[in-house]
This record gives sequence, C-alpha cells and structure tokens, in this order.
Amino acid sequence: MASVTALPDRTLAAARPAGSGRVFGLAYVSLVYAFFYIPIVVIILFAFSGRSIPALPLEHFTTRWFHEALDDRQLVASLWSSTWIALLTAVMATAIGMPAAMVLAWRPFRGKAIIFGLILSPIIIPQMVVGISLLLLFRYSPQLLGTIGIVIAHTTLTLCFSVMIFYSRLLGFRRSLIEAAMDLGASEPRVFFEVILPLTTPAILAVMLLTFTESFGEFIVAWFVAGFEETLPIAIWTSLRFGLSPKINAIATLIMIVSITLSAFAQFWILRQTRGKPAQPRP
Amino acid sequence: MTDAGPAITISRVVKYYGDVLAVNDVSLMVDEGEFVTLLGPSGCGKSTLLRMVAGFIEPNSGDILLHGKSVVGVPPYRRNTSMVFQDYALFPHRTVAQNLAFGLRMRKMPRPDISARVTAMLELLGLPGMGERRITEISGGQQQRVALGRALVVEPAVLLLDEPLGALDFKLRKQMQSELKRIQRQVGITFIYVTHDQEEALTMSDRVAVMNAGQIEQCDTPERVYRYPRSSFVADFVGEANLMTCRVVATQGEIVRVRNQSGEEFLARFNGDRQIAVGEEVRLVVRPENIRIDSQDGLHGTVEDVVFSGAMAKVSIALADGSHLSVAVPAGNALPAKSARVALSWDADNAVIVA
Repeated sequence: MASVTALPDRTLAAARPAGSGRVFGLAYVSLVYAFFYIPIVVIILFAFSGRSIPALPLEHFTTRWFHEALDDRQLVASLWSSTWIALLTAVMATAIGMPAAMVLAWRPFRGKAIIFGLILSPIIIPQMVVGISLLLLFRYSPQLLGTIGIVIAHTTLTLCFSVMIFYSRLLGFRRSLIEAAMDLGASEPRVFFEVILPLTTPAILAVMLLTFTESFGEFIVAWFVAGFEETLPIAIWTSLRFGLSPKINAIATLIMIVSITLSAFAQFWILRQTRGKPAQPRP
Repeated sequence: MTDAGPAITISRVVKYYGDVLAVNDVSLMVDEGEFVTLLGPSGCGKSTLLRMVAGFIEPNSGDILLHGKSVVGVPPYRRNTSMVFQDYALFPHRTVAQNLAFGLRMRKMPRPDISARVTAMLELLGLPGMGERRITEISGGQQQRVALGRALVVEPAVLLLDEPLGALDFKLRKQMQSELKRIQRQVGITFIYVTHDQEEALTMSDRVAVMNAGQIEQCDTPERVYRYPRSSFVADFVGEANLMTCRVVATQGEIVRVRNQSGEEFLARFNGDRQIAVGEEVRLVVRPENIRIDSQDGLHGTVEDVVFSGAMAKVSIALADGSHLSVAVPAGNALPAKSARVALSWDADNAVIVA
C-alpha cells in the first residue's frame, strides 16, 4: 500500500500549488483516505473494546472477543468453509481463465469481440440476478446446492477478472520464447511447464489473490445457492439478528491481518520477480 | 558429419498466407557445412522459408528434406534444426548456463555430460565463468552469444539464423559477423542465415540466395552475385547499380554489342542461359566503381553533381538520352568539375546484361 500511495506524491511534488490551494488539496486527500479507512479502523477499535455492544465511548482494552470468537464453533466452522470455498474458487477461476486467455491473446479468430463481450458481461449483471438464475438452475440438480453450488457460482462471478488479468499478461508474452523452447526439443506440455507457467506466475498469483478475496467476502449470490451451508458472511448476517456481537469485529480484524500480510508478501515477491526486466532485448 | 549429399533440400515449396503468396515455388539445396544466406527486402518470404525449415510453418506444397529425409509434418521439437531468433528469445527466468542447457535437458542427456558441454560452449563463445549470471544481467552482445550457443550446443544438423545481429549496434555487429564466421568454421555446422543487410550477406556467406516477391532470383557466391547479377532486382538490391536500357546490335558468344537510346554503341556481357537475339531490347548493369570518367572516347555526358564522402567521391552524370549514371571515384583521383563534359567508358566484362 505504501509504495502505491507514495507515487502520486512524488510526481506532484514539482507542481505543488501554493497557499490556499495547498490547504484545500491536503484536506481533500485526508477526506478521501478517511472515507476509505475509518470503517476499518472502527472495526479494529471495537474489537479491542471492553463494552459488549459496539458503542462509544471505548472502554478498557481487552482481547476477550478474540477468545470468544475462536471458541464459537459455528463461527469458526463458517470461517473454514469460506476459506475452503474461496480456495476452490481461486483454483477453478485460474484453471479455466488461463487457457481461455491463452487462446484469446495468442490465436487469431473471427468473432473475438463477441467472445470478449460474453466473458465480461457478468460484471454488469446484478449479483441478485446471477443468484436467482443460479438458484433456478440448481432446481434441476438440488444436490449441488451448498459448497459445490457456491464454488460454481463464485467461479462464474470471478472468471471474467481472471480472464482479463491473464489476457493482459499474455498479450505481452513473447511468442519467440515458446518457439525457441519447441525448437530446442520441448513438446507442448513441456513448453507449458518449463516456459509459460514460470513466466506467468505473477499473474497466477494475482488472479488467485483477487478471486480468493472476492469469493471469501461474497454474500448475495452465496445466500441464494448455499442450501444448508454457512459461509462466514452468511454466519455474520444470521448473527446480526441477535444484535451485533463484538466477536464479529474480532474475527474481521483477524481476517484483515491475514489478508494484508498475504498480499504484502505477494506484492514483495512479484516486485522482486519483475525487477531488472528492462535489460530485455527489443526486436 | 554424416554421409555425403545436401544437408537440406528445399523442393518446389509454396506457402500462402490466406490469399497472399509468401513463398512461390522455391527450390534450394544447401551442402553440408555450407553457410548460405537468404537475402531480400522485408516481405520477400525469406523468414517464412526459414520458419518452414524449422517447422513453425508448414508449406502448402513442396517438400523439405533434411539429410535426404522429408521433415514436412514433423513438429519443430522432433526436427534436428536449431534457430537463433531475432530477439534472441532467451528464457528470462533462467541463468546463462540454464539457457544453454535447455536443449540438452529436453534431449534427456545425463547431467554431468550437460555441464561439460555447457562449460565447453561458454568457452567457445568467449563467456567463460558467466554461467551463473542471469539473462537480465548481461549485455546485448553477450545475450546474442548465449542465443547462438543455446542453439549450437545441441549440435543440430542445420543452424537457422533469423536476422540475429539486427538488434546490435554497428560496431558490435561488425565484430559479431567475423565471430559468427569463425564459430561456423570451427563447428562445421550448416548455417542458413536470413538478413536484409546485403553487406552482411556478402561478407559472411559461401553462397547468397537473393529473394524477391517469394522467389529466389539468384543463388550464387557473393562475388558472382555482385559481379554478374541475373536480374535488375539483384543488381539493385546487392550494392549500387546503374541500370540502362539498350538494344542489341550484334552478338559474339558472351560478348554483346549494344546501342543506347542516343545511338552510342558499346560492348556488354551476357551470362544468361538463353539465346540473345539481335534487335532485342535488354537491360544492363554497370557498377559505379567500374566506370572510368577520364577516357577520350565512349559515352558522353555532363557532370551534374559531385559529392565527396571520404574514401569515395560520387559523381552523378546526365547522359545525352536523358538518363543518369552514378560514378564512384576513389579518393586521390582527379575529380571533374561540375557541368563539365566528360566521356565515360568501362570494360565489356563490367557491363552485365540482366534481362
């Protein structure tokens, strides 16, 4: 995060406005960041607050809610089931999205624009509609409702992101690398595992992170096709009927710590992989 | 390396891209250990031909034989050819040594043999001790060598080079030209080299195949291609050429007497395989450096311009029939004044009829 926000600062430094303009600019930036981060900060603060309802003023510091949250079997079970579903979704979206992007990026064929449109349209279809239509579809095989149903639904939702990320990465992939590998004796599967896969690892990682996160927090569509399965968002939604327990804040804080650590590691790794690329020869 | 006979036989190969004819009925034989260059402008089909030998493209018709065996329909990874790519196509996620070892690994060679061969190849390339470097850490010239080494180390029957020096700067390119030639002599592998740089083709090759519009117009030694071009395209593409249109007055074996449009007569040479008839209109080529400007007799013209450029001065002359000739005068010789009247002459052997 820090590296991303540092960039605009540096580029704007040369043209920094004076006086009132500068004050206005600072206020604007502060507001934007406040808008982004206050909800998150609030959750973290309340997770450590001793009061049993999330209300001001904050009282004595405690880690009690973390213990209670991790002792709540139902909540923990829903956490695992969400993790499991998100992992499966990430794998599915990658496994389906990457070959599709390979064809779209590397093969010339008629009607590519139409295919693109069809792949991207789930973005503009309201999730309500996707949820209802999947529920109707699953009436013909109700045994799929539950974990499998949610994985299928989430794969449908995230596939377009997966294809687009892979597509942009593979467009820049030098064709001659594949030809060179074949020329040196690598059959198609070997070319894939020796050349294509290692060089697209950053994209694979990015897709997995994105689709995992999307699936992990998705509520609307999951709600329709969950059957008796309870994902974390569903569990939280259900528990809201009995009042907002601070346990929820604690679990949300934990999830945030894990996901920020994960994505920081991924960022770091990708940056290290891509460093020194300009030395590549240009044809 | 193996039995006698051509390393490669390209026989009546045709390739269409959609409706566009890229390679039009091309035949070519390349001997074992020979260095043959496909030379031509972009879009002449030279790269397509090379890629058909490598197996990336299949011909629509015709045959390609490697040591007498047809390779049409054989995938690139089962052909004993190696290619050096214009952008080198080195694997950026691997070290220099891993790049060199790639082909050997695909051939399932035992590890100790691989490392021995890689070390020997680094030596041959003049890159000893560089094996552990990353591809992104070495210079363009070094990358070029690694690309060459990666293709050579598998000991292919034929090495295919697709404008491999195109990305290098002028000085490095000169250096790599002689380096390439040295390495080729040392390993004795057949080279097919694609370039649009005529000078590169002339300095390195045993034979040059000049291509135009999907066909080989002439395939001969560099000297013969330059001295006796078969077509006006070859004459124009390889070196600088003055093209003239004349009418045949008399023939005597290879020597032909011609008359130009303003009625002046001189001798020329014809190397073609067909008969040439008196009264026929022909095109002929004279190289700028073969024209004498100081003669008493010959074609008359007026000096239009004199441009000095170091080792040579270029004199352009307008002839009586309205055409223009370019003459190269080596430094140190007297230069004519602008708009002076001069007489031009040349040896019959240096005026070559191309069509």
